[in-house]
Amino acid sequence: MVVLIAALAALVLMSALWVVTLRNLFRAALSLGLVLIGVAGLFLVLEAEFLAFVQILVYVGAILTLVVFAIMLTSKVQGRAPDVSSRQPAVAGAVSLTLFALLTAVTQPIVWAQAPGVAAVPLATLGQQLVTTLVLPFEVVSLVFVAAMVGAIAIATSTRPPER
Amino acid sequence: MTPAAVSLVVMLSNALFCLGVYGLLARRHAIALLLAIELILNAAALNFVLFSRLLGHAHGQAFALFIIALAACEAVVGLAIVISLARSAKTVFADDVNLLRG
Amino acid sequence: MDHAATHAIVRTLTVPQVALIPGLPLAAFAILIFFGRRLGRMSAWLAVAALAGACAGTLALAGPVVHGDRVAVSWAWLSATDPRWTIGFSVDGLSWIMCLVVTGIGSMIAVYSTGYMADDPRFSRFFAYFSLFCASMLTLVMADHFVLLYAGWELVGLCSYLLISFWFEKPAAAAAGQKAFLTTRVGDTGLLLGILLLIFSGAALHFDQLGMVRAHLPQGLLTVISLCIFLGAVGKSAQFPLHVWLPDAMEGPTPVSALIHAATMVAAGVYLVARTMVLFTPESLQIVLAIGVITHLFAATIALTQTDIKRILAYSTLSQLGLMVTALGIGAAGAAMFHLVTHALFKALLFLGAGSVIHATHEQELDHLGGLRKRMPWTSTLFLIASLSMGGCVFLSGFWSKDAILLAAREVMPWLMWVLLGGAAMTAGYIFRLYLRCFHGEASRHGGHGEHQAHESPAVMVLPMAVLAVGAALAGLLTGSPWFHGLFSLLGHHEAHPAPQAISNTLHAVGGTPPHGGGALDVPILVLSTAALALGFSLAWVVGFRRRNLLPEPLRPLGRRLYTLAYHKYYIDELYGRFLIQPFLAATRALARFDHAVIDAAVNGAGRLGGAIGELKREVDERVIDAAVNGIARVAKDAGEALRWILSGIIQQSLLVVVVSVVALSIALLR
Repeated sequence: MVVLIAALAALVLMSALWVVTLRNLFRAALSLGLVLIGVAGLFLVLEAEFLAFVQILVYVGAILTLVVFAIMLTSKVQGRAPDVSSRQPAVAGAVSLTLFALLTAVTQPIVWAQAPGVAAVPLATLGQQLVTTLVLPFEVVSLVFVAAMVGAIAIATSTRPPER
Repeated sequence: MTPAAVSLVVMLSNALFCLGVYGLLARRHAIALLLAIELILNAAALNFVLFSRLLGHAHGQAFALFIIALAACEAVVGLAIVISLARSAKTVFADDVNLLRG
Repeated sequence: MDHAATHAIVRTLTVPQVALIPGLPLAAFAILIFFGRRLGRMSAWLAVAALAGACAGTLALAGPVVHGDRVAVSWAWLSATDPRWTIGFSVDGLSWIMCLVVTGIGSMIAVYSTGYMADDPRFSRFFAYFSLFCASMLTLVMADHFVLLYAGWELVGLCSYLLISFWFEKPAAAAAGQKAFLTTRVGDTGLLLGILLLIFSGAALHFDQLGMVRAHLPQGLLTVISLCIFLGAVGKSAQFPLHVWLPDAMEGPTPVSALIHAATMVAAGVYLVARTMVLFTPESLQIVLAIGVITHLFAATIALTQTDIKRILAYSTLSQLGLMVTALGIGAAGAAMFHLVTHALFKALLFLGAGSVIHATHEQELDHLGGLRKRMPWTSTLFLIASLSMGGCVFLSGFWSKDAILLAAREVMPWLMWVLLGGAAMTAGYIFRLYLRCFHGEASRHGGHGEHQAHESPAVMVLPMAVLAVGAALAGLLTGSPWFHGLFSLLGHHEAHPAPQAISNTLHAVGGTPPHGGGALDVPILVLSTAALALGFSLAWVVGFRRRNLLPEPLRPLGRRLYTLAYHKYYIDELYGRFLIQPFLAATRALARFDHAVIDAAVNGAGRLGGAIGELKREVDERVIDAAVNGIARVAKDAGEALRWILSGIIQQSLLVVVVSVVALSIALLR
């Protein structure tokens, strides 16, 4: 299992690196797709099958598609011009490396106890939790959906390009 | 799950998160920023699911579900902003938008 | 009543109504000062009514006082701190006589003034001051405590000043008022010193306890205290050397001269000494005697040479006061008070008569007057009665009082009697000189002064004079003669103290002894005093009236020189001026120059220094402080400008900051 996780981890990391470094935005978006699939795979390994499918369906199927559409729509503005990555790569790199070091330093020393016989969460339990204990966040998320839709429509339709 | 596997996944989520931060700080294109944000969110979701598995608790998975849902909303709104920005300011680069300059 | 021995006071009655006696004139003053102008003519009658009321009050007390009781009322003043300090009024025989004199003669003069001051624009104010004076004088004589007496003393001095300079438009009047006030002030300081010495030696200040004071204090201290008190009397009663104010005080209206400077205020000094007689030691009495005799003779010689009728009367007052003080000096307080009463009567009448003449003729100089007997019969007759009384004509008041003094002198120092007889002759001389020159002889140039035809004064002026004349004629007979001596019985009481009567080996208190030996007429004295009167009258007729020079040829230059010396009042005023006043004024001018040059310069300099410091501070404030403050502001502004680049408006910049902060915080918290 560790081998599987390692392989998937390698895939994810490589793709993530492509996402943040590739100049071509389209290719960066596609790399994101790879990342998402890798993460879905990891979900599977972690016995969260439902979540893996949701990840694929929603993330890759909808969100990534949306991103690609947006890229297409805005590419006219810039043309397929080089996306000069970054303003301050050194600083950003330093900062993120520091952050990584920090996080690792915090998490590595933790010895993960081998918990015997803890079963994975069955889907039924998840469903049940969602409509009993977690019903409030559930409903709030639907509200957020509504707000996001209304907001997006409002933003996208109200702006008129100003006169130069 | 073995401890090695657990720490591996944790390290992975750390690395993903940091890569997302790097992308957020370093990239100029607005949509590239959104992609970086997705990375960060995924890192968090991964973490949640891992610990849900470890502790046998459903809340982790539920939370990861919520993260995905919210990521969708955020992507929608963000992209709407980018498109309207492209239309009005005729640019997609974040550093061109400096109306908040002090 | 038999008065060979002095009686103790029988008892003290507390009668609060006693406060009305000074209270009524005081109320009249208060009303007249504020509403006098509105009351107009009525103000005079208000004052008269107040005085008459006070007189009635005094008479109402006659019963108990004659019996020998003392009527008193007293209030706690500072007695919480020290039982000595109660204040009140007390009427015994001595005070009662004085009250009667003040209220009785005061009422008469007030009535007279309604006529005399009729044309004056400040009519009501005159009566306001008049009432205040009477109230103060009554307070003075009725005080049972030294401090209250001093308060009345000062008030009386104030009223004298106000009334002398009543016509303050005349510079001479204003100057005279000032002179009177300042000269009596010198005396008042003495009185104050005496009171302070008493306080600090722990003595009682109530007059009924003076006997104990005498018993407890050493002789030397008593002498000093009594001399200080006598200094007050010297000032107020115009004795030599503080006599210079009285003649000048004649600048005031004549009723003022009559009341204040003849009858009452100047008598306050005599009253004071009589009241505190028990404090006087033989040494201090010798000084009292000396000053009295000097004043008596000295003033009489001046009176012989003056030509202004009021001046003559003023010097006459000085002389008679000297006589009273002489009587005090030999211990004959009773005789002195008797003479005070009779003198008040006839001197007031003389002044009112002079006022009558002045009112009618608007003349004061003897050279311009004469032969007024025909046109002013009443005034002339009444004036004659007063003159006779003063000269010592048999059976008139002045005779009895003068003989009382002569008798006392004969008991104690026979040579003094001869000196006083000489003084009596001079007294008769000047007063008849005045009378003859004024009312007899041919009408002089006054007729040439046109419209002012002399006429008799109105009834409102003549009637009071007539009342006074009755007193001047008969009062002495009724109170101090061998047949009726009520006055001496009254006076005897106040001298009753636990202290021994003998004040010294050679003097003894004769206050309780009526004149003429208590029952019979003393013929030798009668003969001597009548002889003195005759001598004076004849000299007045020959030298004063007929103007014949009786001196033999060789002595005439000397005589003329003596005459000039006396005429110029022995140049005392000039002496004071040269040796006291001029140096004092020069000193004040020097001090003023010092004040101006040094102190004002210092103060102005300080002011300028303050200004300079202010300027300096302003400079500092501008250059340094403002610069500093502005500098700080500029630094802040420049720093802000410098740091402005941080706010580029680029989101990633802010994000960077956020992330860095989070990292930093985490690291910090980890530790």
